[in-house]
Amino acid sequence: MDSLRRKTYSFKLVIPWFVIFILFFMGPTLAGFYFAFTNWNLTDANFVGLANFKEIFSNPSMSGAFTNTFFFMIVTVVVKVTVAMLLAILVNQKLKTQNFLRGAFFFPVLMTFVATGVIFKALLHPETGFINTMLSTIGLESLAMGWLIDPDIVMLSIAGIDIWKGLGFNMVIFLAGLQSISKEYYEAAEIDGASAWQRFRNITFPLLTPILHANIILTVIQGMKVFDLVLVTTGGGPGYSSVVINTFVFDAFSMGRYGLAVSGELLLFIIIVLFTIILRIFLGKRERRYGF
Amino acid sequence: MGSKKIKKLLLEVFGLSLSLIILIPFYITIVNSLKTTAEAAVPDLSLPKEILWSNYIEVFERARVGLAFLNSSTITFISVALIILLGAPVAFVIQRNKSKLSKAVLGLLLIGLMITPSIVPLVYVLETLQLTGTKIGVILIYIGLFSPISVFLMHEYLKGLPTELDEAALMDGCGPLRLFYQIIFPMMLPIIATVSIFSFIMVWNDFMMPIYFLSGSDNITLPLTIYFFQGQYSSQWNFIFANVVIVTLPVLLVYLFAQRYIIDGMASGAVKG
Repeated sequence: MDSLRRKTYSFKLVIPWFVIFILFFMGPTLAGFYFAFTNWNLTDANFVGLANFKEIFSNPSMSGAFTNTFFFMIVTVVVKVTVAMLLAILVNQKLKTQNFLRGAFFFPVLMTFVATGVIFKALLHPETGFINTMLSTIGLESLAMGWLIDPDIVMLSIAGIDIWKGLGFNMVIFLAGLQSISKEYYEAAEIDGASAWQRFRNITFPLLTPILHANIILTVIQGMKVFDLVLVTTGGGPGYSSVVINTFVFDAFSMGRYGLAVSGELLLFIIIVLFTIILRIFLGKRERRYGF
Repeated sequence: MGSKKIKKLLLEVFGLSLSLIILIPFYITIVNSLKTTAEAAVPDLSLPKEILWSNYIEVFERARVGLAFLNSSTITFISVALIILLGAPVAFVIQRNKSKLSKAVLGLLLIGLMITPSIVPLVYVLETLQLTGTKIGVILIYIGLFSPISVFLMHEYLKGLPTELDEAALMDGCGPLRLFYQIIFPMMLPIIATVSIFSFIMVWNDFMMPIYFLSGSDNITLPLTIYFFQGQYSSQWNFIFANVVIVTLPVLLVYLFAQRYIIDGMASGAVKG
C-alpha cells in the first residue's frame, strides 16, 4: 500500500507549482535579507553593511513613513473592527433590506484601490469636492477642510478612505462569526429577560472572541501594507506628510536604488512578523481566558 | 409586538441611511461620467443635462483602455487558470500522501500565507529569466503570490472527500492521473469556483505588480490606466470617472452572479488564513 500511495499521490505533481513558488515568492523574499545590506542598483551590488538602514532613519523623506504607517494602521484597526462589528450585528437582524445592505457595504471591498482613491480625490477636493461643497451648503463651512492637502489631517483622510473601502471585509468576517453562534443562547437569555445590551455583553461579544482576534490581526497587517491608496491620492505629499513604508520603497525602486528599497521592505517584513507574534501571544491568552 | 415592529422599522431606516455613505460616491461617479467636462468640473448629485455615452468611447482611446482591457483579461485568465491547474494537484497530493514531505510542503504553504513577500528582489529574477515587463513574468508572480491561499483552501476541502473513493477507483484499474483529473477534480468544482472568483478579483484589481513591473510597457493593465490618466488629465472628472466605471464593471458583474461564493470565500479564507 505504501508504494502504491507513493505512486498514486506522486510529488511529481507538486513540482511545477513548487518551482514557481520558490522562484517568485520564497526565493526573492529570502534574497531580500541579503540585498538589504547591499547598494544594489542598476550597475552593481556591493555589501554596504547597515548603510541603507542608517539612510532610512536619517532622511526625512523616509523616516516619517514609520510614524505615518503606524498612525494609519492604528486608526484603521480601531475604527474598522469596532464599526464592522456593530454593522455585522445590524445586518444580522433579519431586516427586509438585509441582503441589499450586506451587498452595499461589501461592494467597495471588491473595487480596485486606484478606483476608490480617484473617486475620493474628487470628493475631497478642497474647492470642487462634494464633501466641502455639501458642508458649506448646509452651513458647516467651518468643517470644510483641505482633506488631502493639509499635512495635519492628510493621514486621517487617507485612513477614512481606507475605512470606507475595507469595512465590508471585516463586516463579512464578523457576520460569519455571528451566524455560527447557536440560537439557543439567545432563546435562553430571552426567557431570563436579558436586555439587548446584556445579550451583547454576555453572549455575542464573548463568543465572537476568536473572530474579533482574526479581524484585528488581519487589519493590522493590511494597515501596515498600505500602498496603492497613498500613491493615488497624495503620492506621499504634501511634502512628506503622508509617506508610508511601501511608498518610500516604491520611490527608491523607481530611482533604481534597489538595495535601499529592499531594506525598507525588510523592515516592514520584520515589523509585521513581530506584530503578528506579539498579537498572537497576547490574544491567545485572552482567548484562553474566555475558554476557547 | 407593536413596539418591536417599530424598532425593526427604525433599524431598516437607519441601515438604509448608513448605506448612503457607500452609495453616494458610486452615484456621483456614474452620473458625472456621463456629463461634459465643464459640467463635471464640480462633481455633484445633479443629473447630466445630456447623457454623453461618448465619454466612454473617448476614454477608451485616450487612456489606452482597450489595450489595457485585453492585457488585464489575458493576465487574469491565465493566472487564475494556472493557480487552479497547478495548485489543485498540490492540494490533492499533500492531503492524500500523508508523508513527511507533504507536511513540509504544507508548512511552506502556511509560511507563504503568513509572510509578506519582498517585491523588489523580483527585479533580479525577472531580469535573469528575461521576463522584465512581460505578461508571463507578472503571471508567474501572481501564481507565487496567490496560490498559497488557494492551495490551502482546496486542501481543506479535500479533507471532506473520503479516500475510499480513491481506493475504489484504483481497484478498478484507474491510473493516478486519471484518478485525479477524472474523479477528484470534478468533485472539487465548488471549491474551485470559490478559489477562481477569489483569485480573479485579486489579480484583476492588483495595482502593485503592474506599477512595479509593467508601467513603461505595452502590457499596462486597467488599474494603471486610471492612475496615469488621472495624473495626466487631472480634474477632467467625466473621463476619469468613466475609466473607473469601466474597470469596476466586470467585478460588479461577477459579484452579482457569484455573491455567495465571494462572501463565503472571503470569510473562510480570512478566518482560516
